[in-house]
Amino acid sequence: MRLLVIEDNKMLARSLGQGFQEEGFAVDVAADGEEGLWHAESNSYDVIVLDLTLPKLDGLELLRQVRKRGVASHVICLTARGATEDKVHALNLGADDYLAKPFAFEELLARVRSLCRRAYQRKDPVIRVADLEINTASRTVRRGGRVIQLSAREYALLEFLAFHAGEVVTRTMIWDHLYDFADETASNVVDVYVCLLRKKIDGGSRRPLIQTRRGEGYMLEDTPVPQHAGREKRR
Amino acid sequence: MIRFVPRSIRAKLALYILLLLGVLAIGLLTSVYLLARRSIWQSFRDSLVAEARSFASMMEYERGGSFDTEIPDSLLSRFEPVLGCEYYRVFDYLGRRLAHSPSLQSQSSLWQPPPNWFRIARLGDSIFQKIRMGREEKGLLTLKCLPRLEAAQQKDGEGEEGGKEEKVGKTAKPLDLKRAAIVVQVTRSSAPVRHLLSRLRTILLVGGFLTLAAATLGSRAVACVGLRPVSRLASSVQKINEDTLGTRVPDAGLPEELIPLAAKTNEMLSGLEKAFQREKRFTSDAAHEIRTPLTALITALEVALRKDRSPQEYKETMTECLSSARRLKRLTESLLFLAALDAGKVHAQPRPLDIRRVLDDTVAIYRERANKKSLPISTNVSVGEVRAEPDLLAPILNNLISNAIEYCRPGDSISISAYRRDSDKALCIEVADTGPGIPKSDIEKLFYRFYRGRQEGETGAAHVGLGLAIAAKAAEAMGGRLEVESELGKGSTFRLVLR
Repeated sequence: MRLLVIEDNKMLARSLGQGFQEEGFAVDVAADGEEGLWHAESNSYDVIVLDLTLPKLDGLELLRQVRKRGVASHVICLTARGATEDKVHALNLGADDYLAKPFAFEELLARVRSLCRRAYQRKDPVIRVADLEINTASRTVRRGGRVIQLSAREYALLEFLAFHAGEVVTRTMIWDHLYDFADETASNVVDVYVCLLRKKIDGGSRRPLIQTRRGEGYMLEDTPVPQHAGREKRR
Repeated sequence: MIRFVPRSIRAKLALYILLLLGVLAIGLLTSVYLLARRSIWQSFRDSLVAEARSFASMMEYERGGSFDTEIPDSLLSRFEPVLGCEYYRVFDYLGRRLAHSPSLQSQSSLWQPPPNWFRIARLGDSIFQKIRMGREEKGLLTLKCLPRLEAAQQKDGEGEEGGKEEKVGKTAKPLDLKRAAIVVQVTRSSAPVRHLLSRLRTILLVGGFLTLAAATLGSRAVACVGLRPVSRLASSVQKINEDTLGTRVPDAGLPEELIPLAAKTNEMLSGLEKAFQREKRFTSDAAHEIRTPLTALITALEVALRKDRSPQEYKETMTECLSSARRLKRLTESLLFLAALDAGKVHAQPRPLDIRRVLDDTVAIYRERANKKSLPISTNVSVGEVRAEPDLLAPILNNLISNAIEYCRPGDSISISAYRRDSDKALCIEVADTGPGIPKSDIEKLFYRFYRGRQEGETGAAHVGLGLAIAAKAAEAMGGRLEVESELGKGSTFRLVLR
């Protein structure tokens, strides 16, 4: 999931960036309103974490412009001002959630994840594809009851594929949503991670779930295999 | 203590209107009554005079000096003892009784005019008296007049009585008019008059009470109507509380006496609203300034603790946290100092200070920072010892000098001077720079709390926008003030003026 953090307090911005990155998000950080607006318009972020008190361009004004230009990213506002009008105003301008400073990082994380699920129209935090079970809340993955340990990056990739289960996901989409500007990895990084993920998920299974569509991309899908179909019939 | 004058204006006004109306009504009714009584008694007396004259006309004076009495029964019937019990009496000019009513035979105590009155009273003179006879009050009229004269004489004269005197004198055979004059006394019960007067009194009293009752209601109504704008004003002022300071008292339709009140109220409301908004803004700004570094601190620590890290990473986090904590400490101190200044808890205790040393010491602290930006600082002191409070002077000087260093571009210069102004002999301590200057529109805002002249940049973390607010307050606490002169592109001068 790709995240934009717009926060003028350098230390907070850095900590948030680090925290989200370590949780497998691709994070871009903007230090003022203008930079934030530019980022928000030029990339498709799943969630924007927006501080309302910003230099150059006020957070509420940024929100108004972002929504006017049809940016569909979910926005969670952060503010240190306790005024109810601010909250109401932000929500009325198209913010999806609201968190008052000081907050616990865990809470912000949970809210951002909830917004990510909402971005893919999912309410159930558990995504199931065949016998693969992905709990997006606790970030645990099981296949046939067996827990699979994944790195943050691998998990993020699997989650992205799972949100798009049954659809083809192009390399560009993966790149856009999972990698931030700070990543200077090789262009085949997507293939490398898909390969790693496939080993952990499908390794030793007779039912591979991660499909490669030549020339298009990847897809997480339950492929009907003969045995599987037979079993279904018997049931 | 009993209050005789009510507290409410409406009641007071109603009372005064009522009192005025009451006095007017009583005065009017009383004079109406007195006039009526006078004219009623007058007409009663007139009727008695007429009756006495008719008696006189029944008496005929004969040439020989005797009187002939021919009183018809119709006239006398009123004086029968049985009917009405009225009296009459006729005297000649010497006071001898010529005739009297039959009832007087038993009642001879009727008032008799004194003997000299018979002589001195002129013809037509009368005395009216109210007398008591038994249980009854009567009017008694005593009239001196001429009787009917002998027929022959009457032919010569034209009129009667008064007009006759001279005419008679001219006739050949003079008639002694002095001897002819008679005095007639007639009584009549005054009961009808008394009755009439008592009815009049009743009518006037009842009318008066009704008028007063109507006046009571009327005065209340008038007071209510008159005070309606006041109650309207009061109710619109009453509706205003701390949440609706934005509303104003409508002055349309108010009487001109109340317009200054409404205007003043609105003016006060505007002032209050502004102060309230400033206060709200300040609280909100303070919350932001405190919560943001606090959030940064907490988040940095939380993120750092989420997994095991290298000592280098921990060190970086701790360094960062320390700077944030220091910022919070500075902010807290500033806010507390400002709060103390606001509450008037910082009392200036001026001490003699060598201003040259104070300035040199302060500049020494900032010399290094200035050198880094290659900003020369010069000091120019032309006063010796001054009396000032060092704990209030220090934050002002620190703020002015550090601001000058911060906002100046490399190559600018800063000059600090202390002198006595020629115009008013006030002590001035001045920090002037050749920096970028401040736009005119921003000069007032400089002293707003949490206002930053420039957006938070590289050095922004060092200050929160309270410095000048504190400096201005501190100057005030010292009994002085802070003056600013600035021109865009040429530089700014901040001057502390102490009286």
